[in-house]
Amino acid sequence: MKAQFVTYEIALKLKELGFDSPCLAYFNGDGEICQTSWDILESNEKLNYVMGNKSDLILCPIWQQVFDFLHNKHIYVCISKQEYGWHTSIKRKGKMTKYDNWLEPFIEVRKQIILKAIKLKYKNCLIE
Amino acid sequence: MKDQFVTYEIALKLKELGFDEGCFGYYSPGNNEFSFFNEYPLLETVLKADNSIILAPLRQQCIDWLLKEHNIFISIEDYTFVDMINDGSGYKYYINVYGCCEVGVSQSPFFNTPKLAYEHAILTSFDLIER
Repeated sequence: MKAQFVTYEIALKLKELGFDSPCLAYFNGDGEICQTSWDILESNEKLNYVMGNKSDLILCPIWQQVFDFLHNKHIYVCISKQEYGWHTSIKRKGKMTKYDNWLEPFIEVRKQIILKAIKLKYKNCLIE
Repeated sequence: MKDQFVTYEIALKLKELGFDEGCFGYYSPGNNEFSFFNEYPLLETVLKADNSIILAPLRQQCIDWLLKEHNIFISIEDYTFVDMINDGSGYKYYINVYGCCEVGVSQSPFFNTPKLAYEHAILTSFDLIER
């Protein structure tokens, strides 16, 4: 089940970008992944609020939450499968950048394109 | 958080198709009510499902399962900027089976959100499996 969640590296970058949606899991101060208790999930409270906004906790979203987060920031990430590998693209303000012919396993492709999109968002933050 | 999980209709179909992986949530049979498991699947090696319930995987789990078990991959394309060309705007899906495009974007309707496009595409993929 841990494969459903982003890596510590990505979670940390997302925190810096302001990600704060409710999550099924979080990283504790030792960098270990821990599951959010079901009663918190049922109440739909934000983890930081429930946990007293401890600065050493990092929300750990699932992959699709990151796609949604970036989408809300006007960055649309697309992964498609072609006969000879994976094609990925990042679209921002109508401009698309393509990255073609990736032969790695899907989970690695997903991780790499998310890192690229986050890097793009970082750049935008600096400009904005 | 609950909108990250597949709908009851998809969950029911997945069960019929043999989906049996660890999940964070489930639907109660009959009343379609979603619940989180009280247990901690992250800490357990395998969460054994009670056969009477309907497992509710995350949408991404379902997409991963389609790829792993049936070599089907769903892509959602953003057509929100091209309404003049495509006679509409929104999100479209295409479904790739064994590296070949089985359902193209021209066959997909427009959807307001990627989530809606995914849900429609998943149900279409089930039809392909049963064909």
